[in-house]
Amino acid sequence: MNVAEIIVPQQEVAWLPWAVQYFFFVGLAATAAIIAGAGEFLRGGRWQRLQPAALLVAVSTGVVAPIALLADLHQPGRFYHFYTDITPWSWMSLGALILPVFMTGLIGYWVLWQRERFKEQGAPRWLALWTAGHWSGRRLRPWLAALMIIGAIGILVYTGSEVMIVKARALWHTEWLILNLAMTAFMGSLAAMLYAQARIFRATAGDQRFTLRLFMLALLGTGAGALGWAAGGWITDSVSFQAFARLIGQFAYWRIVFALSVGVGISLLVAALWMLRTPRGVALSWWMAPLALLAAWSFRWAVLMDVQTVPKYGAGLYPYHLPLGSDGLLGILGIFGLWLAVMMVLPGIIAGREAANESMKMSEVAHG
Amino acid sequence: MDNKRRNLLKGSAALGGLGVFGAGYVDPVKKAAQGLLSGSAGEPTTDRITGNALPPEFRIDAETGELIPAEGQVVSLTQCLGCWTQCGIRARVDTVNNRVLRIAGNPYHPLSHEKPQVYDAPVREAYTGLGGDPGIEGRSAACARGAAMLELLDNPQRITRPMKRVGPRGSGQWQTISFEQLIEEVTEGGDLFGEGRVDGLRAIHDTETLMDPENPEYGPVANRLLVTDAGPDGRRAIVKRFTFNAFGTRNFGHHGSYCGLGYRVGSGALFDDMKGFTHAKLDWDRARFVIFMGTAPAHAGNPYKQQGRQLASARTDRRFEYVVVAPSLPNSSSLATRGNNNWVPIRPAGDSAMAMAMIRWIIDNERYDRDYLIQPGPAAQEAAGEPSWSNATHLVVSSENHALTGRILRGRDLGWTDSAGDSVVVDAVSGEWMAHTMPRPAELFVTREVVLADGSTVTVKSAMQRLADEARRLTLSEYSAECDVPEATIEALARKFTSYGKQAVINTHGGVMNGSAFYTSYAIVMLNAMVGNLNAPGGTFVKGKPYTNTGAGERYDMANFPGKIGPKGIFLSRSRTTYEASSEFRRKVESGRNPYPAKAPWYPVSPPLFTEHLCSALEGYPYQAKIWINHMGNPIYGQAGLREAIDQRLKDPGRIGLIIGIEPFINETNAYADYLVPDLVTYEGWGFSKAWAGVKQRMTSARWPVVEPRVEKTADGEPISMEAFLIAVSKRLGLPGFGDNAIPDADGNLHPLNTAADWYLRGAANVAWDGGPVPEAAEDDMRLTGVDRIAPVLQAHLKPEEWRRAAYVFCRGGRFGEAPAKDAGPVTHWQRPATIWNEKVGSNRHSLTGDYFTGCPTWHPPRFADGSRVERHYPVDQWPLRLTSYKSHLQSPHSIAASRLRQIHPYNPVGINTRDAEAAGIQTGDRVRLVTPGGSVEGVALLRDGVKRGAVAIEHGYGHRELGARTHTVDGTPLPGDEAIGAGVNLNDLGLVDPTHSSGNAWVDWVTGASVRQALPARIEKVG
Repeated sequence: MNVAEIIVPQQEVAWLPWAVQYFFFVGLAATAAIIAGAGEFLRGGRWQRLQPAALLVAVSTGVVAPIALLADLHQPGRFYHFYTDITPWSWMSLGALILPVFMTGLIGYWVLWQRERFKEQGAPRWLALWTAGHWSGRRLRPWLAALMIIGAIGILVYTGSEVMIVKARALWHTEWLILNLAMTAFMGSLAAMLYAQARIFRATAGDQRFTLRLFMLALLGTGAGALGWAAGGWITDSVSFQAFARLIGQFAYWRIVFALSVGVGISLLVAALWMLRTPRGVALSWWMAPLALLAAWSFRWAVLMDVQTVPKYGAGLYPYHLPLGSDGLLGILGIFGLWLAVMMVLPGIIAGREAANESMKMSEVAHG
Repeated sequence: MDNKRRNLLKGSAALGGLGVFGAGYVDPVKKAAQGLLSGSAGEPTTDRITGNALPPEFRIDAETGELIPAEGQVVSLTQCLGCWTQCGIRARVDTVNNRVLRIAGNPYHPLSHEKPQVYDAPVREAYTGLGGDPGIEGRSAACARGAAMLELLDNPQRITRPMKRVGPRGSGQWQTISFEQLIEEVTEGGDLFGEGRVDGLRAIHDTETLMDPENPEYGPVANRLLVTDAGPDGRRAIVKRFTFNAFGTRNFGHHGSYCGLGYRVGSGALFDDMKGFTHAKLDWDRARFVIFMGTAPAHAGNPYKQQGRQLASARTDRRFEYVVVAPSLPNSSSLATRGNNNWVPIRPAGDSAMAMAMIRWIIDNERYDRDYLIQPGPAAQEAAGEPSWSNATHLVVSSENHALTGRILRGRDLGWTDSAGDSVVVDAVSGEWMAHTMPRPAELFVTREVVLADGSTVTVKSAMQRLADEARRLTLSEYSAECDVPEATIEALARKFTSYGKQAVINTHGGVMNGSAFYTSYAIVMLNAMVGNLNAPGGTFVKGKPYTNTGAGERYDMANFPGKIGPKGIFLSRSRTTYEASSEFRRKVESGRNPYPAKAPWYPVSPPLFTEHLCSALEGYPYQAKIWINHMGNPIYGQAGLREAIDQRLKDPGRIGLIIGIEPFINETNAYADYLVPDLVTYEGWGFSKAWAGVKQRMTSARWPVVEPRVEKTADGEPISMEAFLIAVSKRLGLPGFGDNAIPDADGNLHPLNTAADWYLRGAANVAWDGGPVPEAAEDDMRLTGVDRIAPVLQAHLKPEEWRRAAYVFCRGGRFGEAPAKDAGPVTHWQRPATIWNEKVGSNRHSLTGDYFTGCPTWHPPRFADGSRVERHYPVDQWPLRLTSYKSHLQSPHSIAASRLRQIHPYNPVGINTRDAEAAGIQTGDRVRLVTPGGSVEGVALLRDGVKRGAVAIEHGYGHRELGARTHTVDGTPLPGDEAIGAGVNLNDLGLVDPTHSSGNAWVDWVTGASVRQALPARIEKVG
């Protein structure tokens, strides 16, 4: 006997692929900003030397993220309502307040940080205005760094919370989600920094090793978050874990997602451990960046988009077809395109004379 | 790489990235700009959970239980027109924006609520009872279709202004015109389309002059007007008043003949009701075993929604078993309760053979209810304590070619002076003649020679004997071969059916619409007579009487008026009259010719037939129609094969000169119209409708304008509608019964009929008074339901003592009698006999062959008008498949414009048996072409085990060409069609033209003229 009829109403998805882009980029920006901020307070060491790479990641992703967010509003024209109608019970609304705080901290801090670098190293002619005047801004920098760090933490808390708060989506409804989103963001941004240090800045092997260690910590944190969610969920029978266990039991697609997550996580961890053992390994570590970034992005896709295909009531999975246009593939590519454009310009500004020589070879980086 | 090249590369990458970004971000920017410019970019959020959603229509205070209605909203109780079940609904209305927000069920209405609210209960109490969660018992629901139909109100495909065609007929080019121009042109005629003179209504408004003195039975010139509607949507009375009694044409028709007419006439034959064609439903509360043959409760069938609940309750709450006999498995069957129900697949059109086989087995094995069948009349019935009686013992004159052939032997035929009108039976004890009115049983099986009073000798047989003879024409195995149901299954079903006394029922409906629909239906319902279940608890019952509304009521006599005309002459469809009484027949006999065959079939036992009207009117046999007014009727979509049969002739203005279509949308039939008149949808207008069958208590649903109509208004400020059109035409022609002094009240004072409200509000007063006046509506009732909005209209039209009682009826969406207890059994009893032999059928001849019709069930295969079997024209080796049509549980024929229904179920696949499909190399999802001798369609194959081998099942309601599927041009601007509305296939596009029908009509049942859509011969092929 075959089932002859499927009766479901057609519904639009609430979170569009734009949201995945926003969560991805803002997560990178916030975690990179925290690391950059740490360099402000832990001066004269590895943290400070990590600042150029951290700021490159934070600023490039930070300017792209709100643009993706705006598009996710379905009607972007109404963004100003977040400010004319403050809604304190809504995480999303709080986020609308946190985001400008973070952006002010990030851009402000970067402007002052960059000013000092330019003053020290000389600015390109077209950016001469950056060093205009005689004030140093040094006294303001810690304050802006603090604002940036607080804003970044706010971003991590609010983005996780606005998803977690939805009770109707059992899978989302767990505090662990906030931690997991943050940890995968650290994983992504540190991977990006590894890449930047290796390919853009003349970072020393020691500095790269330091970043690689942080990256490994992020991986361990991600793993701990996942285990914590699973173990906690198993012990307390949390709705989120139950829903996940049901999906794994019922759908091959979710089994694949699960297997890939575990597989990629463990692979990255093993690779990072292996690379830490030798300088050559450290020099190769930037190769992990694409995979780590893809993993961080995919986690957001699974959480935001795939979960929406799970019926709140009823059986099976809803079919979701990625539209080719603006609310789909073109939008996703567009945001990456914007980031690419930013990345064509920004490294030149931040790295200045520190920029990696175009003829620099892998071996030189490794032994540099 | 030097710096230049490096920068060039970087620049290109940056530009590329920005380019993709720009392309991807254009839409959000555009949206934002539009939102900001149009001011629709958002509003402040009012609630953290519900956002800016409208507040619910009611809140019930958790502490006090008090019902608190929302500001700016009312909940109006009115009537649905999503399908012809016409359930009561409650419409949540946004009174600020004049919108219907949601449709659910009317808690007072028997079709919407299994335990309806007591009629006297205040509306507040009824609404409060809907709150909380008392489970299914407390719920009053609409079906998916009913809930979606509100989309029709503001549908872009609706027409709101009168339109006139500017291109050739059927070309879809229109110009809008004023209502006044519309009335002027259709009444006065003229060179309306630049194609020459067209007669207006005035030209044919002549009720005195015979249109054809050679054939005086054709009646006056006025009969050249044909008026049709779709169905009894609650507004038919005024259409009939205009047609019959004001204009004076004989010709009125409706969708029945392409809906379930074959069933209705077969049922009428059993119930001795060849005028009203009463049908019965099963007593769900007590029945123990039911066979559904060609009908599907909980899937389709009237009353659709109620039967769904009844079936669900019966199969879960108590001992109840049922079998569905159908070529395709409907939703009526349930695997969840598989122990008590089963599906018996049957070859399309095999039902007749199967029912006759069961009758034969029951008679041969003496499993019939003898104590019931031997009671010859009401006195004997009462003496024996039977719930009804039958004419099984009555004697049928069975000699051929006698004046009384096929008639029941009456006392007068034997020269009796007492009881001359009584039927003659044989006393079971003495064996002597006896009047059927005696309180004694009679002999069941009789065959005797008898000398009549006029000296002639005839053979008489009891009706039961005739039935036995007919049933024994074929053996069980021959029957089994015809229906492709194993003999053992037939026997088992017959045995089971006769094992529950009167608590076994067989029920049927549209599944019988095959090429021998009448005899199929008669045979199936005859099985009920075999177990004597009519009026019995657990058996079958007829519905309660509706409350008189726009008829001869207690307050206003709306059926009679000064100057009322009675139509004369025969129907265009040659029905309810005999060929033998025609001048044509007389002329042929006088000239010594064999009078048979007639030029085209006559239908002596049928009502007026929409299925024949058009072809007759176009072909001029019996006579031509000049003007056709069609209110919502859609035979071009609904009648199998009609498009193919008459498309070209209908497009020819030389045949029917003027076609006026009245409807909110342009349907497939009105697409041929010369003028289109907008009409109201159910939420905008007035009306009264009844339940079809299946409701024990008395009931009448009322509808009223719960929102302001979307159509334009006439110069007098009336919304343009069917009523406004008929009133304006009547007044312009000076017809009686319209205008001032048209409606007499009980005291003989005359009241006007100038507006729809003049008509329906007086009808509401009649409803309020029938069977005792209802109370006056309370202020609170009127406020909660929004009736307070129309209160000024009520006051203006009705007497002071009437208006609040009429308001009481509108507040409750109609008037509903007390619901009987669940174990009460039938409440309204059918008084006439179950006619085992129907002499009105049995004494008439078929006009093409000259053969007598058989007055009791007998087996006939599907056949064409001249009696030839379908296979003779279309051999099985070329046409191996048989199509079966089934009702959709989502779409009705006119619901396709509701987009949310299409979202749920966007098209209808072509259902093929899995093994048949595999043999033909067809997979689910393949595009297939279905071909019949009448046409071909392309659809998507769906392999189903739930389709009988050799059958192809198609759900009705899709494959539209109009109702928004096609682009029309209005005033030079395209009104774009929507492809999604045209999705799927329409089985009726595959209907056959009867090759033996001289007028070239679509294939109809040879007895009743009912459209043939079941068992169409077909073949299937994979496309591409």
